[in-house]
Amino acid sequence: MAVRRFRTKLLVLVIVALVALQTATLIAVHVAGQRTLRKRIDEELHVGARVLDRVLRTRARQLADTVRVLASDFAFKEAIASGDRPTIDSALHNHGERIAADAVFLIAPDGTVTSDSLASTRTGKPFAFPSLLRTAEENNEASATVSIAGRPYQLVITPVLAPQPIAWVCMGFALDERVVNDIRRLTSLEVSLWSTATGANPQLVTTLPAPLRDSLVSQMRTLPATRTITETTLPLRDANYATLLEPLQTTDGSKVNMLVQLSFDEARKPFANLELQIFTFTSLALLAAVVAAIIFARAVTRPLRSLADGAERIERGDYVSPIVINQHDEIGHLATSFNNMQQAIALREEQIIYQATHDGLTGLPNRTLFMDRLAQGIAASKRTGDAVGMIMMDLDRFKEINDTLGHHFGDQLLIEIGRRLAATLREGDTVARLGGDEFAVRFMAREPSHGIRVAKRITEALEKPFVLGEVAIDINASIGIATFPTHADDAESLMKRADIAMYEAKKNHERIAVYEAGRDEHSLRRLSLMMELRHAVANNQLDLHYQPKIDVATERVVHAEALARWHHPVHGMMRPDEFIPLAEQTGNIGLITKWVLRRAIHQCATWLREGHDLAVAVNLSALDSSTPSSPPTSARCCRRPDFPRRTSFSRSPRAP
Amino acid sequence: MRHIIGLLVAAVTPMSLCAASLSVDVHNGRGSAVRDAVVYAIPEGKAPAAPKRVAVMDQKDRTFLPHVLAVQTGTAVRFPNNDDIRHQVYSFSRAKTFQLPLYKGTPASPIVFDKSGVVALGCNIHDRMSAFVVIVDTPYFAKTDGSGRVSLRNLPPGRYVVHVWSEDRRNEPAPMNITVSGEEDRNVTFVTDVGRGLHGGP
Repeated sequence: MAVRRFRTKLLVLVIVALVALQTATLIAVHVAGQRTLRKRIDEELHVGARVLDRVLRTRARQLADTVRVLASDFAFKEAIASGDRPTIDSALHNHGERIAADAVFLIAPDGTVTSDSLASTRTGKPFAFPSLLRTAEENNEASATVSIAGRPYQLVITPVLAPQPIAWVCMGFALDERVVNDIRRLTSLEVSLWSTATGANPQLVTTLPAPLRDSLVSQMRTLPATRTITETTLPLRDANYATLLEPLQTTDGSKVNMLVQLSFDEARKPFANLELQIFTFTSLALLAAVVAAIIFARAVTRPLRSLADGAERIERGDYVSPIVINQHDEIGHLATSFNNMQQAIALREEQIIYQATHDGLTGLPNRTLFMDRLAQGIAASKRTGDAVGMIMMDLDRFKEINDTLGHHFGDQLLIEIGRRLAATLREGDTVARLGGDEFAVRFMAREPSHGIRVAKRITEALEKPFVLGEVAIDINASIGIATFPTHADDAESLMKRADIAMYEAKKNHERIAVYEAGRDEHSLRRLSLMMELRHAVANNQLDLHYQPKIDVATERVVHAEALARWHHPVHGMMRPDEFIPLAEQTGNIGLITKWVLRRAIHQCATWLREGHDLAVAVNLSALDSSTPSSPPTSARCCRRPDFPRRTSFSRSPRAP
Repeated sequence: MRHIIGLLVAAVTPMSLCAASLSVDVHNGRGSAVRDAVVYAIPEGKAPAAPKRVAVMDQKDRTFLPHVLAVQTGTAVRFPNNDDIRHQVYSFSRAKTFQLPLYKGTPASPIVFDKSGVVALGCNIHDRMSAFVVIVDTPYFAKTDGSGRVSLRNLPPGRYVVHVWSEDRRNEPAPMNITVSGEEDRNVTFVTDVGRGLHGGP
């Protein structure tokens, strides 16, 4: 998902940037194009109007020349001078045809019409365009664009000289489709002409195709007919035309409008093409950029994916497979760092696991690892049918060694013991230090009695005195043996039972004891009592009871015997014979002796102050007096100022 | 519009017995003298017949000489060609319509102008050549000189209608009735607008 998002982001960025660029370019081109287009249209229309004007002028001059030559024809003059109407009319017709005139007029010197091929003016009436005649009188000839019966004509008037003027001949040339089409060929513009004279029905002369022509005809009358130049957009059906409307130079109010048009679509075509080209080009660039971005994104995301996979492998604890990226850039560097990190993590985890599963002092497996191995052994045993044995071993009176010779010595001793234990074992066996002076051994056994042999080997290994520095010391150990499947179903209970066996051995002052079924209940209680007895003194659960001893002779109380009681929170009041042996076994007896002595002396002193001269008897454990600390403790108690001289010690075989 | 400003009858100078002379001044509205204007006086009653002499309209350097020729009705006019190129002289005027086909030298017979009026002469070859023959029904006629003056001499006493013709026919002055008696000498001024107008006809 993250990978896809990166690619998407990159693509979005690239596309947004390029689309923005494309849009900006197109807008700029469009705006510039529109400006140029408007300018071009404006220029073309005016050029068109000028061309039309020039064409009409040139045509008028040529026609005037032609008419003048015609009017100089002697026979023509002769015919005109004959005064015979049919002759005059036929001559006019004939000569008009010669120069392809559409209308021929003959005007008398007094300005009245003599002949009119269009029959637009009655003979004898004044000529319809007197100002044209006046101009001709001044310049000897004249021409103009006029409207006759709604049609635009170019009129040329010239005198008939014999050699004095005897008449005016006027020829009209219709401005028809040929003329506007000629102009259209020159300018590529649509050209329309029509008369705006009132009265006559105006006829449109145009280059426009029929449908557009009809559209223009319908709008002709509403268009302005002023002399001002107007540029408007004239919609003809669906097509839009830029339009220049200009009245032609006319005489006598015979207005002729000139309309020059440029199709917007045609004018826009080159710009539209340019815009299309730019759009195509930028679109291709966009496409190329997108492809490049995809390739780039893939080039980035593929090694990232490898890195992510590698990180996931590390997360799962796979420290073997490295990340393979053959790149010599930042990503390759990152991959190398990842691999280095993977190795470092593997090393550190190995250390952590080692520390977590081994005893720091001896380097032997610790309880956790041992339990693991035990469970493994049991699992294997279930498959093979072989027995798994376990030995629990505890050093006798290690605490006293520690107290006497110091912790350093104790530590050295433990290391040496671990070494000897390991040396006795066969391959596949495990020796572990469970804590303190407690060691354990797991061994695979074909028969249950195998455990005894292992235990004996261990005791033999420990028999040799330990020489540490200048001190040589003998060590005894109590060993308990339990075997799977004979004694237990799982590692937990197997260990518990080996433990029970070990305490059994300790209790019976034996070196080795094998677990016997059924001992559990009793042993468990004893075990828990052993544990609880340590805290009994601190928790103030002990009490002293005093038994008076009466001298039969005097019938007086001679002294009181102090008897310890344990107010157990669960088992209630316990007598000394129930817990003193446990205290002796666990080495807590000294603690209890010390407490009893202090308490008895204190009580004796109290009594003495109260006036009761009463001796107190305390029973000391035989084991206790053998410990090095007991006599000094007693001595220290006796040196106290309130120590009553009345305190006596009696050594009882067991109980205080 | 007629722009005749005034008509002045001046002093009479005796010239000959029983004959008077008429001095006429022709100028246009701007005061400029009008040259080659034909002034002719038509007497009341029958005019004397034309003398049997032949007038000449010469052609030299592609020009008619004179430009204006005044003759009495019935006068024959010869058209000698003094150029080394041919001319074709014609007239479509009603007073005398004729053509002299391309010729050199002098045509055998002169043209007799037997109707009063103005004949515009042209050459079919040379459009610029132009001249006028003014035919009048009186022997009393003359052309103005460069100062626009003319003198009609030896007018018998009597009533006359004095006409002025000039090339400009637009503002032709109105004829004037004049009575001469004895040996008087009269001065008359005609004012005309002279221009290159084309209205009016012969």
